[in-house]
Amino acid sequence: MHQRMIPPDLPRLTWKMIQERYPNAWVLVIDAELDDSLHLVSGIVLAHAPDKQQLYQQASDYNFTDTFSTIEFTGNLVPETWKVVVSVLKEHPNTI
Amino acid sequence: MESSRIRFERTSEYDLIVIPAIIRLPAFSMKVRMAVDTGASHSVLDANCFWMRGMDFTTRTATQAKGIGGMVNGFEIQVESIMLQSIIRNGITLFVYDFMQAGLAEHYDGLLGLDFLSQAHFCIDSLQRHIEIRI
Repeated sequence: MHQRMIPPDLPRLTWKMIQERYPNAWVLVIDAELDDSLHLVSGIVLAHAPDKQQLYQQASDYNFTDTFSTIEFTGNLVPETWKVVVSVLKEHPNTI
Repeated sequence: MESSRIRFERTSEYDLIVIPAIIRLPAFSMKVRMAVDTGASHSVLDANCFWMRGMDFTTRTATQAKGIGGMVNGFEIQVESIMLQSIIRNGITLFVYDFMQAGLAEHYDGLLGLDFLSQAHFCIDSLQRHIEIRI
């Protein structure tokens, strides 16, 4: 884990440029700049993959914890016809 | 009193209310996407957010949570803070487990549950697509 160095020559891109360069992909953006609403303005794409699991695997090769980072998807996240159901109850500690 | 208005994009009737947040730990900070879930007693985060940053859970005590798909095993992590725009809450404990293994949808990184929401005036305007938070 964390064997690879971050390439020094990766370009800083705006969110629009990232979307154009990596359509419908998960991207790991380091040195991320956000606006007041916490949306990505620009950053450096360290890794990209068509699914999130692959991106997690790629990302774990690098040590990027000294930089502010985010994972974003450049396309439409929720396909039509999906029905998403969530909710979690955590067990009381005394019952475990 | 601190207040913030957070806009959310809900692009279709199939989407959830997902808002950006910044989570700070001693070792690193990250932006994540949190689904607002008043049906969750506790806030939850995907363990992959930590694993990919080299965080090790092996020394932590395992705990369990019950989700709509059944029981899941995970860990508790106290983070320094969770920030939603100008709203910052310190010392929040998150339940952390592997979303990928649980087969959860991947378009959010975590759930913002009642442990966070009940500590504030929290109002969702689903027509105007914004959330008002006052602490």
